[in-house]
Amino acid sequence: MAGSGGVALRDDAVLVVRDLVVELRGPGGAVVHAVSGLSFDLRQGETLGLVGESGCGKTTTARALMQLVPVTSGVVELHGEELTRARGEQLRLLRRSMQMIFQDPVSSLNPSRRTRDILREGLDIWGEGVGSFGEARIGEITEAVGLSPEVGGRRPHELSGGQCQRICIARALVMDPEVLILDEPVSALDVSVQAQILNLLADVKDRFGLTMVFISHDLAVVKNVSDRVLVMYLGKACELAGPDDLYREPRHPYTRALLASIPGHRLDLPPAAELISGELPSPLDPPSGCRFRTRCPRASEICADEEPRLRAVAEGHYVACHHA
Amino acid sequence: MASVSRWRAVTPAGRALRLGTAFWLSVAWIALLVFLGVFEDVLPIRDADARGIRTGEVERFEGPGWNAWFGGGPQGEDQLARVVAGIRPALTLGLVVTALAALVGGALGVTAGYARGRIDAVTTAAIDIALAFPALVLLIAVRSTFGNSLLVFIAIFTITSIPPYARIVRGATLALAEREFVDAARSMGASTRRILLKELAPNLVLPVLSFAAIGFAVVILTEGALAFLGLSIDQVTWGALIAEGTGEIRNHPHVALVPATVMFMTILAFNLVGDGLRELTAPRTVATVRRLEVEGDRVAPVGEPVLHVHDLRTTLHTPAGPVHAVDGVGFDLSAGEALGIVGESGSGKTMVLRSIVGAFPLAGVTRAGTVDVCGVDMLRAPRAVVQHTLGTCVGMVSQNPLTALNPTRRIEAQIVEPMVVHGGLDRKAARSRALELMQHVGIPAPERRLREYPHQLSGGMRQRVTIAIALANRPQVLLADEPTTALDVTVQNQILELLGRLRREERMAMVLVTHDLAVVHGFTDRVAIMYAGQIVEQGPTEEIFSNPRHQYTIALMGSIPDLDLPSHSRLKTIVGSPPSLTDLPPGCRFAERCRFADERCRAEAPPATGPARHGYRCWHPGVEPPVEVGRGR
Repeated sequence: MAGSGGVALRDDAVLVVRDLVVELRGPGGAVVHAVSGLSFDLRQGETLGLVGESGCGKTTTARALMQLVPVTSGVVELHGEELTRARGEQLRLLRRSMQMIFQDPVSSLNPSRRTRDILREGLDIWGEGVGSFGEARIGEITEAVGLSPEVGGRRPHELSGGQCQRICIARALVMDPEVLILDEPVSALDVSVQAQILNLLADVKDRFGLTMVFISHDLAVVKNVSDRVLVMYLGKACELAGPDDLYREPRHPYTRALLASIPGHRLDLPPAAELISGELPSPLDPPSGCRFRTRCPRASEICADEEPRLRAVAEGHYVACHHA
Repeated sequence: MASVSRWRAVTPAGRALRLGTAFWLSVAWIALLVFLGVFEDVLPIRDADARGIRTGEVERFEGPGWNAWFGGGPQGEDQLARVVAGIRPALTLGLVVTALAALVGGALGVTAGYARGRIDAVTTAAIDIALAFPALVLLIAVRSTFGNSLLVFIAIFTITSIPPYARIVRGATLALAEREFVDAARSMGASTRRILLKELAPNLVLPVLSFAAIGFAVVILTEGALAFLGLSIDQVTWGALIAEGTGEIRNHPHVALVPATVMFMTILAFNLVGDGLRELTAPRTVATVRRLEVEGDRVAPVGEPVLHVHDLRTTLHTPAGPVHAVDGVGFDLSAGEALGIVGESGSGKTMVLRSIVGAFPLAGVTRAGTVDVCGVDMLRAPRAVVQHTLGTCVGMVSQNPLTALNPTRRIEAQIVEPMVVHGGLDRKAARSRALELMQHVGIPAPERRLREYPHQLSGGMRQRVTIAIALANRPQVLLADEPTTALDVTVQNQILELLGRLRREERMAMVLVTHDLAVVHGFTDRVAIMYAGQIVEQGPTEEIFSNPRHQYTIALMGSIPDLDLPSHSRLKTIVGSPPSLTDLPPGCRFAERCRFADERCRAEAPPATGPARHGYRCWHPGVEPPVEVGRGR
């Protein structure tokens, strides 16, 4: 797998990521190839699910979108404005339209501040009257995320994980963002709370017209929330498709292995053990050609020599594999 | 231990009240010193400089008594007056030095820790050099040039105190800057200045205060030591009084002992305050009772299960009150049988396993009921017997294989040890069995892996190693606590398959504790659903999935995203959150969140009902069409 190419990019996208490369400095100056030539885009109001296992680069991608890690090369554009080149005040302004929700809701909130002050943070930073800020908006959003007024006086450690994640979502919404980037937003939560937060995200997405990048390792969660799903492996894109297509007809060998590994699934797939073998290679020294070839039962010579490019296999369904 | 964090949610004010008597006595002592220091001039105390040999009020070396409480000095001075006169220089020196050093050092530390890179490297190097500089030499040199006024001492003490503060604040900042709330603030467009002042600084106040209290004590102690060397300030200080009194220590011990005691108590007080403040920054869950207790009598099993748990009740004694973590749990497992215990955080599922093996995150625990493992009463048998049973009959697999393994020891040593200690094998036999075990759990190149350290293995391989260790003594019971939660989905599948194969081959009884219903599906014979410390439903796995009866089970299954449903399907949710384990409702524990709950549910606890093979505690058991589950994660 694991290919590059911008074939799936569309003309009317709000957020465009083109050939994104993020190389991080590892121990002893080694280069970690975290993201290697990733391209995708989002239309207004669309939710893109990013799935993959640890080390696939999904969190680095999110942080690169927010310019929280230095981008080695490639472009991130919001409405045609390049975030990757923006600096200082310009970046500060652009960032406002993109907000991020993190995995650990408790760690995402300043432990020494009360909920009330956390929710006001955007207002404090940008000042009253900027955009659609205002006390009224805070009230509206607090209600929209299902927070009762009495949590205002409490500090994060006095609240449950679910309540903290609601606060994180509210804090981001106060900024009136266009794009919300969610990095494993429900992974730290209990199942019953997870359902509350997923439903809440669906509600606020409709109500505030949000475009979302939703990152998760949980394939069932991703299917539930996404309009398109991008499967990643070792810093590269494997497969991009609508959720119903992808789960019904997974084409990429890695997608198939991933789906077959879900406990108790009823998809028409062979046992996972026949679809994937071995261990994840080191991102310090990724395999040549297709990065999945070392674990792929269908790998052949071409997979080592030539990197597969993302290509269309059906309407809106793209795969980066020589054999799919 | 999610259940531990659940009762850590106490307000800082609440925690402050529990800082303990020693802390508050220390605060009172410091307050007394401050009072005496401030009102020294108006209080009915003699003049510190007045000499008894002139005034006749106090005799030379007079013993402590009604006339002079702390006795008289070498010239008939009132020792009480002199000790009180020593308060001002001590507190002034301590306070000014500590405040200045904390501010300057704190600013340096925050800047270095947040900026990282070159600024950090330069600051850290400067701190290291400063710490290596001999402060005493500086002091003697400066003192000989600028004299021995309080001001000179403050300057020197401050300069030499800055580096430790900078270092401690830098460390704390590095840790804080990793936290996601800093990234969140940056994403919202907060300036660096704002992040430093509003996000980071408030979280540094407590650690710096705690360090400063101890720093305060060090300043007072150092002054005393310098006074002893005759290097102190040109004022009456405690150190000077002690130095003066030591010459007469044989004949008139009170002259040195009184200022020494006051200084000792002051230093102790500041240290205790510092410790107390540190406790506030990193609250530990302290047990109010420091022992493991067992109550009630053993109830013998019917038949010969390898694991027999009957009416198990585990209570943790915490400052927030007794936590009923496990409340009347029971199940029997025969050889080769697997039970899945499923519940959300705080349900008590992990505490059931801990209660079986008797390992708890805090010291004060009471267990009641029966736990028999391989026929041994684990609650009441002598300690050695319990240890032996754990070593030979029980294997444990935990959630995080990295913390379960010792990072400094080779894999081989860690597998061999239990076989030598409990299994009675010699080293050679244990080594060959270790190799066999590594192959058995599917580790490629086992000879090489045995020589490696845990960090050289991937997460999945590490979990295979912990399973190999658990299997070392051919246990009859395998206890697995969230064994796949930390693993990726493709690895999770491999580990579950491995556990299933081993259970069949070795005929082990297995308890699989998990938050993930899908994990038990297909891997266990029976499932117990836990909620708020109780098993609310227990039965054969297939039946629980096809015909769940308890409303919590039904609701839980409904809230899992289903792979078979189209995308954007609305999820069923459970409103609210579980009850506090310190304050349980009288009726059904799920009543508050249940849409079928009525008066009886809220008033009366539902007893275990239903057929023996499939029991539940619910007044309104579900008869809804079966819910499809098991497509999640």
